[in-house]
Order: sequence, then structure tokens, then C-alpha cells
Amino acid sequence: MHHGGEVAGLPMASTGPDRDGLELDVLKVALGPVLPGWPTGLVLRADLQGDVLTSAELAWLDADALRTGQAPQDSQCAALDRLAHFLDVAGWPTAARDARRARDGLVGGVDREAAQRLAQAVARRVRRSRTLSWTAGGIGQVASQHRAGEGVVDRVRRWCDIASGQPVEEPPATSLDEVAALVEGAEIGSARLIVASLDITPVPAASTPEHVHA
Amino acid sequence: MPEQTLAETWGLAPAVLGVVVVGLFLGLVVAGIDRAVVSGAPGSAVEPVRSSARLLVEQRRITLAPDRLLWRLGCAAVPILALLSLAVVPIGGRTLWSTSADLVWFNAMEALLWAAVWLVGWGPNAFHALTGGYRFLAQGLAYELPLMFALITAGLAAGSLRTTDVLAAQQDLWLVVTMPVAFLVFVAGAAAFAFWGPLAAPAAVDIAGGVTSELSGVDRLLVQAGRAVFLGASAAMAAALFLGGDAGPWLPGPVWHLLKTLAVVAALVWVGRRLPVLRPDRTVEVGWMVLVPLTLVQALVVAVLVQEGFYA
Amino acid sequence: MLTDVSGWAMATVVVLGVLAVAAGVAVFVVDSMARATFALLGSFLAVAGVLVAFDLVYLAVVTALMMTIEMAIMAVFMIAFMMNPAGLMPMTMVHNTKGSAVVGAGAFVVLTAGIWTVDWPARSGQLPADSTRQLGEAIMGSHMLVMLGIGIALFATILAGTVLATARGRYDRFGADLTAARPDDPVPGGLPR
Repeated sequence: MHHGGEVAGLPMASTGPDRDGLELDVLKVALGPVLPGWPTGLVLRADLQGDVLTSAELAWLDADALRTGQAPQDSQCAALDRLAHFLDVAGWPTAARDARRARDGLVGGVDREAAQRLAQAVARRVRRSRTLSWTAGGIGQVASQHRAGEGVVDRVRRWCDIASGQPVEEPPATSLDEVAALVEGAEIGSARLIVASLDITPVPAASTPEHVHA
Repeated sequence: MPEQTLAETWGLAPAVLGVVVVGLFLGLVVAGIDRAVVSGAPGSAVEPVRSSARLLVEQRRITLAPDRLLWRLGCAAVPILALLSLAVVPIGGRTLWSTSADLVWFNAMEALLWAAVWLVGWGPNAFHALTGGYRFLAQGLAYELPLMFALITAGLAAGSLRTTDVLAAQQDLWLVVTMPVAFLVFVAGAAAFAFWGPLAAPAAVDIAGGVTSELSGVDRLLVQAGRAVFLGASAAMAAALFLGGDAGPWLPGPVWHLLKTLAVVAALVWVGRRLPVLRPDRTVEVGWMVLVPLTLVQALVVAVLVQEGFYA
Repeated sequence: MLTDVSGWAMATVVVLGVLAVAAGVAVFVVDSMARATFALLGSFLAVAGVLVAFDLVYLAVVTALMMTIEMAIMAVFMIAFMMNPAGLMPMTMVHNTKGSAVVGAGAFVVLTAGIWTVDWPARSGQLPADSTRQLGEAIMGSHMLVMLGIGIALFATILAGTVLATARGRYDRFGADLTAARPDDPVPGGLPR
């Protein structure tokens, strides 16, 4: 069995030690910059063993253009938008649909009252869903001091609070190297949920290093 | 009890054609109801018809260095297996062909789907598709045994693996009364092998569509149609095995069977679309640690009832 | 026995038999792990078709069912450790080409000669109305003890194989005195424990 080299112009996988002490093939992939539910322009370059990310590197593609292209939104609409994206990734199309409708109603709809009710209903539904907290639980725990132990579900519940119109203190934005550290060692599906649950906004390449390796 | 199969009553070719038509009808019904619930607009129930027509004329998108032979094979196999599984589902009280091992036949078609779906994931030479293929197998290993036990439990009560015999055994009492666990596991298993709703992890958004991510044109149509037909066929099978099939007052038998099938589909969509996709890391443990013992106990209960002469 | 089978069934058996052998040969000709696996599955499915032609439906569908699951699991294990989608890595299922070809051809010749030269006993009694029931009664009746023995032996083999293969036993998961409330796993499962 030979490893390395190219077949049909594609680099072949090489082996590396995995978490169970075996030698497994490592595949290098770049996911993005357009993935459903993720911020546009975000690219994940990762080493994969099976579907487990053994190393991850996140970067913005054309961050300057993305930043100027974004219109300022009020926090409730932004939270609904983010919630809808997360629910897309979590595979919950009906809840994502309601979140989008509520956002559209709040932004330019005729009946803001109804939109507000819908926003509260969808936020309550997601917040109280035991299935979601079961399936998305136990992943993406932040290790940092001020938000220790906060996982994907906690963050989604905070989006729900903001989305239903409650005043919630905005969390500090997460830097790409923090995110990369979170997804390392996670299965690809968990990694997608973790990133979708975080507040990541494009930063221009000039002010910060464009990509960070974890 | 009808002794004849559909093929013997109508002739082989018309019977096969009839089963194909019924399969496509069930698939469209499932896809339509699902679409209407997901989009929240009842009018979008015709959307599957429209998108099928569009996919039929759409040009194929090719990935870099695919395994074309296996990819096409997998895509074609999905709807064919769905229709073959329908061959042992009673339509108007008769099956297309009747063997002494109908239930195992149904299960075998579903097992062959493992190979087909894995090939659909393997063929395009793409990461997301392959991950979806592996997810399907991992999920499959966890639901296969409970699903088998559920099917066998129905056969156990009827004392036969022939679908029409299971139907005949329910003239007095629907089997779901004594085997609710088997019924629920069978319906959940159907959602799992059509990778639909909360068990759609092999084709989930978190891996950009998984096995379906690289499909386009006719290939996508074949796989999506196969999934819908499988779900419709399983609902019809669930209605036949556990809900008495065409037994019911006033209305003709086939109408009852259709109504029960639609009820199963509606219940499945109503419950399934209220939930997010369940991560396989979570569901697999439930399959092995909860469902396998539970379905075994269910089979034991039914076996004791058979010994007591309850179903006689 | 073959004389009991109708002409159509006989023709089917011949075609499927050739197909089974051809697919079996393909396993050693194709250069991708996936194609080899599915060529082998094709061979098994052809054998299942032969069983259908003999009206042994239960044996046929069980063969198809078990072999498909087996091949799928084999594909997982063979290819899961090689993350190259689409089997781009050329490989071969043959090692020691000449030796294995000789052994394979020899076994084929011996078995085929045996099948055609053995004086098979004539059928005694009638064709059963329901071969599945007859099979079940044979397995669960007079051969129950044997089947039970085989079942337990297989199960013990599975357990022993798992115990030998696993790198992390319960002491790694629950601690040296097995008192940990939650197992220490790289990926938590779905049950609250």
C-alpha cells in the first residue's frame, strides 16, 4: 500500500496517529466559503480522520468586502437571523422557517405585533426543546474564564432570549483561534453546530492575522 | 383469505405496472405532505411534481474523478429497491408476489439499501457525500436489529412470514394492540432507512446534504423519489402489519388501507417535523442500549401470548 | 434433483451461476476496494437468485440480507481507515498472485468435478408446500441442540473478539474501582448516564 502522491490531480491521504492509538488516514479538506448556515466567507481548512477534525484552521475569504457589504441590524433581528441559520444546520426546517418569518415581519412587515408574537413563539419552542438540548448537548464547551462550561445549547438559548426581545448582555465576539480550538477533536457535524452557535463576524485582514492555526 | 397474488389475478405486466404506479403515488403523497408541512404553505404540496420535472431535464453536474459505475448503480438501486419492497406490501388485500418469507424479503430490500446509499455517498469522490454514506451505515447498524425484531414479532403472532397471513390474523384485533413497541420501532426504522426527518443525518444540512450533496439531474430525482417511495411503502406496510390493513366497516378494504397508510404518513410527518435532526452519536447508543432489549421483550411477550393461544 | 426444475428455472440457474462466478473473478481483477467489495456482493446476490429459482425463498432472502449487511460492514472497516473517497488509490485483492491463482483454480476444479460426479441421492417424499416452514421445523426441531450450540459459540466468539480488540475496557471508562458516575469517553453517547 503506497501513500502520498497524486491520483487524478488530487493529493492522496497520508496516515497519522488517531485518538485511539491507531494509524489512520488523514484527509486534508477545505470546507466553505459558502456552507449552509455558516457565515459567508468563512473557510475551514481541516485535517480529518474519518469525520473527526484532528486539526482545524479558520479564515475569512475577502473579509474587507464582506464587512462593507453588511447592513447594521438591530439585535433582535440579528439574533433571529442567527437562530435561523443555526436551526438550518441543526436540521430543523420548520423552526428555521418561523424564525425567518418573524425576522422579515420585524424588519419590514405590516404587522409588527404578529411578528413579535411569532418571534417569541419560536424562541420559546427552541429554548424548551428537550430534543435539541439532547442532540446538541455536550459539545462546544468554552474553556475561557468568564463563560466557563458554556456549550452550544447555552449559546442557542441566549440567542432565543435576544430573539424574543429580552434585553440580554451581548457576549464578547469570539475570535477565530478560539473557535478553531473548540472544533478540534470534534466530529464534523458537531463542529458545524459549534461554529453556527457562535457570534462570528468577518474581520478585515489588515487588523488581525488572516488565519490562525490551532 | 385471498390465495392469489396480484400477478396471478391481473397478469404479470399489468400487476407490475400497477405496483409501480401505486409506489409513485405513495411517494408523491409523502413528498407533498412533507413539503407542505416544512414550508408551512399547503399549496406547495405540488412542489415535488414540479421539481421532479425540472430534475428530469436538468444537466448532470460531475465531480472530479468520480467512481461513475458505482455511483450510477447506487442511484438507480434506491428507487428500484423501494419498488421491490412494495412487491410484498398488500394492495387491495393482495401482494404482487407472495412467498413464505415476505417479511424477510421486505427487510432484505431495506438491507440492500445500505449498499445502495453507501455507493451514492462513495461515488462522487467528495467528503460530505462519503461522510453521509458512513453515517447511514452507522445508523443502520443501530436500527437494523430492532427493526428485524419488530417485523418478526408481527410474523410470530400470525404464525407466518407471509404478509397476507399477517393480514388475515388481524380480522378480530389489530396487532398494534399487543405490540405497540414493535409498531413504533417499525415506523421509526422506516424514517431511518429513508433517512428522513429527525433521522436524516446521512443527508443532513450539517454535512451540506450528505449523500445527496453532489447529486444533480436524474440521479437526484432517482434518490429522492426512492426515499419517498420507501417511506410510502413502509407506511403501507405498517398499516398492513399492525393496523389491520384493509379491515374496517362500511368502506371497501382498499380504501381503509389507503386511509390508514395516509394516517401513518401524516402522523410520521407531524411528529418528525417537530424535531431537529438527531445526531448519530446520540441515536446509535439508544438503538443498541434501549431499542434492542425493548423489542426483544416485546417479542417475548408476543411469544408468550402465542403460547397461551391468544391469537388463535 | 435438477430434473424437478422447470426449463426456465434451469436457464436462470445457469445464467446466474455464470454471473456469480464472473463476479467472483471480478473481485480479483478490479483495482479498487469498493469495487471488489461490491463485486463480491454481486456474486452473493446471484447465488441468492439461484436459490429463488429453486423456490427456496427464505434461504435466498436471508442470503441477500446477511451478505449485504456483511459487505457493507466490510466496506466500512476496509475503507473507513482509508479516507480516500472513490477508491482512487489503486489496489489489488491478490497477494502472491501465482500461488493464489493455482490454489483458486484447483479448488474450483475439484469442487466442480465433485458436484458433477457425486451420485446425489434421489428425492424421497414430496416437495414441501412451504419450504420456509419445513426449514424452520428442521432447525428448531430435531437440530435444535446443534443450532443452540452454534449460536452460543458464535456469540462467545463475538464477545471474545471484541474483548481482544478493544483498547479501552470498563476500567478505562469507569475508573479503577468502577465508581465513576459517567464513563470517560471521547464522544458521549445518547443515554443520560
